[in-house]
Amino acid sequence: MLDRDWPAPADLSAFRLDLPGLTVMTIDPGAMTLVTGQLDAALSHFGLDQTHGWPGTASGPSYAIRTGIDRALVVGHDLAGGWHGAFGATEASDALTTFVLQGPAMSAALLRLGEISLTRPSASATFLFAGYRGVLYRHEDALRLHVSRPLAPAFAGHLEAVLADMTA
Amino acid sequence: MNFTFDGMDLTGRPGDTIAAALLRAQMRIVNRSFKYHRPRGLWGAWVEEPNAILDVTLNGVRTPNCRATTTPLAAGMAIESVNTALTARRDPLAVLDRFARFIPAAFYYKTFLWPSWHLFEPTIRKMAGLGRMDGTQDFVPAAPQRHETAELLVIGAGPAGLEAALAAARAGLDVVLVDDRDTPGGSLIDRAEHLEGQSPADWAAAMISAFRAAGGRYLPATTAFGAYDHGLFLLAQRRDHPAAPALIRLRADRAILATGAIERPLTFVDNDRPGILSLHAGQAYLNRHGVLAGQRIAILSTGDAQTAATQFRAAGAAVEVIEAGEGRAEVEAVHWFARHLRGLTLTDGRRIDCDTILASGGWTPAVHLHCQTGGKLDWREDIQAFVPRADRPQILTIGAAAGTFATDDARSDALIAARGDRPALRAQDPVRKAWPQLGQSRRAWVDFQNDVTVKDVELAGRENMRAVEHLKRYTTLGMANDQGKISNMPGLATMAAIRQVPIPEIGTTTFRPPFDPVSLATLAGPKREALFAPPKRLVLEPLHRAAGALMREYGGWLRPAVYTDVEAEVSAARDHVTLFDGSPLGKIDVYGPDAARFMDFIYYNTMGNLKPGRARYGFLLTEGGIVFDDGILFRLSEYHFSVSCSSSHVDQVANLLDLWRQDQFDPDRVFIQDATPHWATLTLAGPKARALMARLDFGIPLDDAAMPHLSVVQKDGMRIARVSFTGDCSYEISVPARAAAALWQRIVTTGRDFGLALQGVEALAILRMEKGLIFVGKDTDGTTMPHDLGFAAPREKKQVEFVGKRSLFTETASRPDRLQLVGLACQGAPLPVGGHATAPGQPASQGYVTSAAHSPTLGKPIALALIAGGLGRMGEEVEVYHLGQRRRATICPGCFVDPEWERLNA
Repeated sequence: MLDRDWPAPADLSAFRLDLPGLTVMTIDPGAMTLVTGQLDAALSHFGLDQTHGWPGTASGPSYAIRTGIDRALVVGHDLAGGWHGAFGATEASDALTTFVLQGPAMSAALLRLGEISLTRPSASATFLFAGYRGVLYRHEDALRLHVSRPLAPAFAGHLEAVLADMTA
Repeated sequence: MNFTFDGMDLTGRPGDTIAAALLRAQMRIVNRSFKYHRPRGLWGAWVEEPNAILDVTLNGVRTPNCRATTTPLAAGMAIESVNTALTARRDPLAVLDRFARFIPAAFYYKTFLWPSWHLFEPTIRKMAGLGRMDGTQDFVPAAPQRHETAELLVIGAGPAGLEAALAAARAGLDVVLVDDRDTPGGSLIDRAEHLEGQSPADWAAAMISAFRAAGGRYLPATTAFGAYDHGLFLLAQRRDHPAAPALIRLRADRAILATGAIERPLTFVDNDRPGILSLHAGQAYLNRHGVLAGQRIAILSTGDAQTAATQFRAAGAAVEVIEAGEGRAEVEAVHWFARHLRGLTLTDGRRIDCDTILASGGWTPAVHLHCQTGGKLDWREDIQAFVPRADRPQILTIGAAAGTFATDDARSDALIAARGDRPALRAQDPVRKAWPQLGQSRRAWVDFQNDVTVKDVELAGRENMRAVEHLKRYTTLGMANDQGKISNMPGLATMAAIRQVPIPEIGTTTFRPPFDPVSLATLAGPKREALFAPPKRLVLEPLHRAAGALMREYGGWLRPAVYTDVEAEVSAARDHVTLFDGSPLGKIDVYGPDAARFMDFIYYNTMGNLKPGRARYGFLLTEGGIVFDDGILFRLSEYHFSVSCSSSHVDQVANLLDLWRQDQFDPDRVFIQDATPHWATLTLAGPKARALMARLDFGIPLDDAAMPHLSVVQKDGMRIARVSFTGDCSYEISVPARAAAALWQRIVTTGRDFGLALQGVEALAILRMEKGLIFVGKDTDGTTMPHDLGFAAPREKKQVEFVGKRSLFTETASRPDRLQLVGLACQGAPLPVGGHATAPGQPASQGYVTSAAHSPTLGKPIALALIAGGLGRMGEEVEVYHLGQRRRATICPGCFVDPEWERLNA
């Protein structure tokens, strides 16, 4: 396997799947920062009033998603990496690739990705999808899924494989 | 529907299984037994079938080992028997049966040993075995997978399961009902048992309609093959042959198991003859498929068989019912002639002419899923069977699976279970015992599929393989792909008789998933080929490819192995300057007021006294004191550190940090976040690296005073560190990934004036080897401690507690002959990696070569090795043994180039 020839990955900036009842594509949601520590202090710094878990419903260009007991992903803001008195900030704008799932079949698509209860909330929006760790939440009428950038090409291939035979 | 079996043209009907079609075509012999190549026919009608395992080719796709009783017939199928030299009807290897006394259970421990078992093994393996793989087929389509959740999972759509599922759905629960048949009804269909004035099919269909109307989800053709922790069940949903079943992972708050029971065979001489089936199978073939198992049927049963006999007579068969079991006449002989069953003789002298024997030795509840979750069993003397103990509050078992065989009782219990309550135990009328008899002169089969007889169990008893786990492994009873569904109980009963103890004292072996064999394609799903273990991708991969790099996997990343020539890249790094993509290097942020104290605890080395802007090389240890990872720790500010761990180990190190943070420290004062994917790291290394950096002009002073080795500067969103893994002056420039391409291009363009070359991982491996710098996991193993690598000072001097500290002082850790990292010098070709070092002419290993290569810098081979007591054996000669060859080598210091480390500041 170590000697395998791997083909060059496709350009994910143009990634798009058009399936019955479902569209999947990548977007650039803007600056992203991972914060860890006193989340209230971090939210206050960014002018946000809450974090969203699962399913949550984030909206607009700026929001915070809870990813752990004392961790969150802040979208729409950047902050220099480092300790900020009560929380640490880690630049993440280039750490994550963002996939958007949209359409009436997006819930059915989720069942092919991982063990995600559509009815049971979770404080954390972090999930495991067939070994790929990601952050998943509702954003307005779509689902957003952030995956580690280096694994995003493989994850895109996984999406194609598991969603290809979806019917409306 | 036309199909072929062993080359014969046959016809089946829509809705037939392969087994039903073969039976309809009066194919009595469908296979040959595993060891003795005895002719075998159908025994069962569904998952319990042990004999009819066949290879099926359809539309050019060959699928080995299909169970005929559960595989639907399709037009055009070419079906072949397995484990035969010719056909099922004619197998020259049947001569082996004449030598049965020489090949009993476990014969391979006693015979075919001289001169070597391996001489005989290939031939023996060819003569035994099941289906054949098609070597031309290298692609099996992926099976889909999905997840489901439910408040209640009901397994089994027989009368008990249907009642429970409907009641629960009507009570408002989210219910999923699964059944491995295409249509509901279970045993009602097999027995043609009418309910509430309706045919079983109509009654079951009505129940399903009502269930769906109440919001229930019904999954037919779906086998629940595994029950796991926390309410997880794995289901295989059948698709059209030859497609592998789809996998469903279902998480349920609770479950009701209505999985029924499996009919036991009767154990008598020659009970494996074709034409001997289970009584229930005879009914199932008739009532589901309209196929009579025979025209002259003898029923041997420990229970009431009159209803079944009436059904067979109504279909046109002549039937004789014989009571079997304790106190009744036994079978003295089975008459088999010209490949046909002719009759049987009982011990009371009666001879019954027949072409088919339908046998029933009682019922064994299907307790598998209950036991897979760790549930225990209780013995029921009345039904002579094990039933689930009431020890699983979230999993209830009802109906025949719980030992309740009457339909009305099972339905009543189902309503109780639907409410979440446990039904009370129902005593049954005692069944007649019909366990195997010991001491018979002729063979009686216990396990059809693995050719295990009562004599084999007796042999196991004589050889003291009397515990149930030993019995199983010694005789292979229950180890075939029918997993002992019909053989376990007779086997246990036989051993109980041998040991003269009650059956429950023998116990059972451990039930493990799958209940029924599952295709690997089902389990793999999309995780195959490129998606099986995909590597992480570098943001600069397009540029590497454009530069002609050979891309290979290293530590979970796809990286440039080499651009031009490995040795040329090494030379460029030593003579000029090279550019290397070091992006995978870990960058784990550790923050907080206690971050410094945390770093002192995590690292072997003292780290808390690092000043902001400085870095230090250190080791992370396991609690056992073993080197877990190494790397550079940067202190970026008073409360901010960055752990630069090995590229392949970032997730594990992050987990380790999180673990200790939660265990030992105030979580409000230490925080951890992995920043690795955000950054790209470009490394310049070589004597001209500093000059190139000056030309690039990042606005930072580069003199040794301002930026000494092991220092870091943050500027304009970049981190520039002076660290070295090659021993030459070296800089790591980290930028956000989106800025990497532009920076790379700028460096390549600017670097032309300095003889810049691109450097791959292979060259890096040689450069660091020349300096004796380790790769953890290659130059260390599961025993290596830091002092084995020459880093003894913290062990001796570090005062504060750190991970692994006390393990560094055990007797083992203090032995002088520990494997220690040294260099090996030799002549000629590089030493073989993995070659073992010995004293000259001696056989005992004293260690092994961990890294070896030709050094372009030195023009000779170098190697690193872990050698017993190596650090105290400098200059000593050893031999390196590998694949029959011996080479001479001399133990030397591991740093071959620039041992004074003067090139760092060049």
